[in-house]
Amino acid sequence: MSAIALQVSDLSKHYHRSVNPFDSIGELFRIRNRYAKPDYSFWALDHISFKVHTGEVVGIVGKNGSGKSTLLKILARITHPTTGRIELHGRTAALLEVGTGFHPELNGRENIFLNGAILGMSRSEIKLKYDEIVAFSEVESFLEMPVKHYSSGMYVRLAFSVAAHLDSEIMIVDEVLAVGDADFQQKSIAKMKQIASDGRTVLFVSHNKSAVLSSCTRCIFLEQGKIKADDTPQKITQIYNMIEE
Amino acid sequence: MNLRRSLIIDANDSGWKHLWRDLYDFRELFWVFAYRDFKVRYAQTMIGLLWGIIQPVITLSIFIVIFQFAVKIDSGSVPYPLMSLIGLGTWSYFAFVLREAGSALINASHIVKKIYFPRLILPVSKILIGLVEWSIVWVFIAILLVYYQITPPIQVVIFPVVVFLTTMFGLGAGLWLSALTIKFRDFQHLIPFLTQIGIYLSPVAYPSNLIPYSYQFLYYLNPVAGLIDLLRWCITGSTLNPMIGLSIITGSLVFLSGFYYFCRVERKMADHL
Repeated sequence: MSAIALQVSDLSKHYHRSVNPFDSIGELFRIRNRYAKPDYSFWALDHISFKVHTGEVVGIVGKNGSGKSTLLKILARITHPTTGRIELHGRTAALLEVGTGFHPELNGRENIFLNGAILGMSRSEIKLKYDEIVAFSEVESFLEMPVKHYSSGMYVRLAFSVAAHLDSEIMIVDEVLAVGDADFQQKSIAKMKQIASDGRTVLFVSHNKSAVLSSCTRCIFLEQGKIKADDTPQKITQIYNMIEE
Repeated sequence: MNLRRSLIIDANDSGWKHLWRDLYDFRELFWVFAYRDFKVRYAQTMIGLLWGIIQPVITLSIFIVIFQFAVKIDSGSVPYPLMSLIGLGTWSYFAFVLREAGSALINASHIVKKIYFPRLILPVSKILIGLVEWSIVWVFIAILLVYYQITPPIQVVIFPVVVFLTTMFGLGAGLWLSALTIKFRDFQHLIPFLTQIGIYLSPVAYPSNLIPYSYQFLYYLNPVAGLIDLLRWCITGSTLNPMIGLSIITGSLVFLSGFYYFCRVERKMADHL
C-alpha cells in the first residue's frame, strides 16, 4: 500500500448557535449562564476517522446536512474542529469555489495574480504558469479589461483556469466541476480527470452521482455526521440509490 | 507553492505556534491585497490620488476660517494652519486605519468563508493606503514649514517612532472592531460614531493646552491625544504635557489586547460570518 496522504482521527465539529445575543455577550466576558438552554446546537460531524492513501481519488457523498461541507471546511482550515486531529502529508490546496477573491474592478491579468495568491501560489509560480492559464481560459484578448465587463462564461473560465493550474499534492475540491458552456465543461472535466490521474490525492465532495462514479476510486458516504459506508463508488451508488427509494 | 509540505490540524492546538509561520507563508498576499485596494480605491475616478490632497486642504480651510478667524483660538508660537494640519493629518490616518481595518473582515466575508489564509493579513493590508495618503499631508506640512521658516527641533528624529505608534494604535482598535463585528454587528455602527466624536476629543482643530487640568486625565486616555501632541512636539517643538504617557499606555493596551483577541477568535471567524 502506498503512503498515507491524509489521516483523520476522531474528528468532530459541534455547532452551538444561540438565538439570544446576550448569551454571546456573556460568552465574550466568559460568563456562563447556568439557566440558559442552548436553542440550537448539534454535532455537524460526529467523531469520524478515515485514512486516504497517496494517489487515491476519494468522493465524499451524502445528503444535505450530512456533514460534507463541514468536513470540507475543516480540511480547508476555514473552521476549526471541536475534537480530533488531521494529518496532511503534502502540500494541500482547497478549492471550495472557483474565482475566490476575484474583484470586478480589476482586469483579468490582475485577477489571475490576486486569485493565485489567495490560493497560496507564489508570484514567481504564477508568472511561470501565466501563459498556460491564459491559454486554457480562452480570454486572451480581454486580459486588460476589468472583469466586471466579462460575460459570466468568460469569468468562470478564467476562474477555473487559475484553480486548475494549482500545483499541489493533495487537492480538496467542492463541486467546482463542470463550469462554463458545454465546450468548456468538457474541457474542465477532462482537466479534472487529468489532475486525478496525475498521482495526486484528491478528495472531492459531490452531489453528482455520475461525477463520483466516473472519477473516484473510492467513496465515503456520510449520514448525520457519521460515516455510513466507505467502499467502491459502485457499491456506494447502490446504497445511495436504495436509501433514496 | 507557498504552502507547507505537511500540516497537522489538532482541535486542542492553541493556534499560536502556527501564526508566525502562516504569516510568513502568505506574506505575498499582504502586498496583493494592498495593491488590490489601491487600484480599486482609485478605479474610475478622474483625479485619483488628488483626492488625498483635496480633502485635507478643504477641511483645513474650514478650520482656518472657523477656529483661527471666528473663534480666534490661540495656537501659541506655532502658526494655526501648521498646528491644525498636523492634527488633521494624524487624525485622518488614525481614523482611516481604524475604519478600514475594522470593516476588513466583514467586507471580505465571501473570501473568509471560502478559503484559508491568516485573517490578520486583511486588516493589516489596509495600513499601506493610509500611509500613502498621510504622506501627501506631510508634503503639505513640509511646505508650510518652509513658508513659515520653521526648522524642526532635534526631537524630529523620533518622528518615525510616532508614526509607528499611530499605526499600531489604529490597527489595535481596528482589530478589536473587526473581530467583534463578526459576532456582534452592533460594532459596525460604532465605527462611524467613533470617527465622528474622535475629531472633537483629540487636539485636531485646537492645541491640547486648552484642556483644563482637571479634565486632562480623562482627555489623555484617548491614544490619539498623546500622538498628536507628540507629533507637534517633534515637528514644531511645542511644549509636551507629561500626561501623554497615559495615551501611550492606553494605546499599547488596545493594540496588545486587540491582537490577542483577534488571534484567539481567528479560527472560528468563518462560523459567524
